[in-house]
Amino acid sequence: MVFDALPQGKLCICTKKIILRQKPTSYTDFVMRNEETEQAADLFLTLWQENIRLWAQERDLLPHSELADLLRADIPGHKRQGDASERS
Amino acid sequence: MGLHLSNSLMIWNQSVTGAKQYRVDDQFWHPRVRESLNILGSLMKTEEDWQAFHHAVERQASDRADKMLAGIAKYLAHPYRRPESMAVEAARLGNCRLYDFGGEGKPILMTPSLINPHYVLDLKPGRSLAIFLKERGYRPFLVHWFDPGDEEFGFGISDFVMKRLVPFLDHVVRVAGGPVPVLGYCMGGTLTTALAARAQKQISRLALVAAPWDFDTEKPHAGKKYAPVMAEALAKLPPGMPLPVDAVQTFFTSVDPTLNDRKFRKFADMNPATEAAEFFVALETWANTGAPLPRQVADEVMLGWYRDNQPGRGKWLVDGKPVRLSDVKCPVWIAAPEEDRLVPQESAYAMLQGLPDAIAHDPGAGHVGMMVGSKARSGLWEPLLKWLEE
Repeated sequence: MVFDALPQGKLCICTKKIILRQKPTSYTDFVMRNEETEQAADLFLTLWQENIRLWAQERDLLPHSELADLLRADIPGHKRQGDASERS
Repeated sequence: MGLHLSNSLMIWNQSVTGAKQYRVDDQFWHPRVRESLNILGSLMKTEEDWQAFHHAVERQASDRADKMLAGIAKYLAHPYRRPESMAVEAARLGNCRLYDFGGEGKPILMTPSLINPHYVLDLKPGRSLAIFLKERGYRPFLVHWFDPGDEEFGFGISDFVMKRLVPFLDHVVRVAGGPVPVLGYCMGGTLTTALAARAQKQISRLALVAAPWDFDTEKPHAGKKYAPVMAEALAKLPPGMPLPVDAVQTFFTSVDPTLNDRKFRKFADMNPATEAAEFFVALETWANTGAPLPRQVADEVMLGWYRDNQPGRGKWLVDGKPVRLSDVKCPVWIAAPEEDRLVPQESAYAMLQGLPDAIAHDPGAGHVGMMVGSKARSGLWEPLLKWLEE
């Protein structure tokens, strides 16, 4: 697996959780614990910001207006506002 | 500062919507994070997981924005003020000054950029190239450009070279009794290259640190992309109006719109009494300080340099004649880090092609970090000293 965008510490936690969740034994194992959820959210936000940094680097420059465009993600057919059914 | 705030708040506000959608195949996501996102998404097995995740993202995004604001408040309230420099004013021309660090050492002229304050070369104790050199047998003379006065507001780059740098160099040469080494940082390096071509016999050595020269490098860079934006902005300004410093700051922020958020959130956790916190405040204050750029200078830099690559094509005029690298007769040391996103290494190293006697050095840090950061001493200062002593 390539996790070059992730800090190694968070990567280890994330990977370990995935392994632990391979063999669920009860309903509670299917529902993430609070601690896991918080860590997943923290990781998501880190990736969210890293994503913007990477685009700025790739495009050489990401002025405020282009940042706003990127975050709006007004790509035809790709609404950013959505619900669970839109997840891939 | 307003732009930093706006960028950060927009990033965190939108993250909540991004989490709710969670489309890893969306073109919004950079390929380098998609795999990580896929794995993260696989943690969520049930609808309850997703709902809890959305709530956690919303809360943590708000916490991150709050922490960034707390970091800014802590920065503004920090008691650190730059200590008074040991340098004294040795000469003044218009609003430009030449500072003398004194002593019996070998005089060296140091020239910063016209964009940010001169004192990045003398930031604070332990973070000062000028003091490092003074403690090792040199007598630094540092050019202070700011703030432009009535005369400087009518200047082009050639005027800053011929009417300011040349007389300042004359002063240092008189003190030394002969040719002196000259160091130029960033845009100051480009200016001192012209100085060396025009005052060949007065300069013994020329050290260029992240000095841009070829603005049409194969590798795209931020400045090249920003030039058309600036050209458009300049066209809208009333004739003769200086370029507001915010226009230049916008460029620096746009190179990485996440940087300030990350910096200020980290600062929020710092012990304010530490040297690291003082260094942060000193550097951030330096980076956020600047003066309006005289209009002709702005036109020459944004259009003549970045858009038309006049220096790289041998078309840049100083004192009415093109600046030719072959006219720089002294040994030249070109320091340019590979990771510099403001001045690409390729742009600085391009001078190696035209200079008769030049060597290159990679300081192994970023544009500002190489001058004052943790690697400055080993990556830049000591190699510079060694070269000066050769």
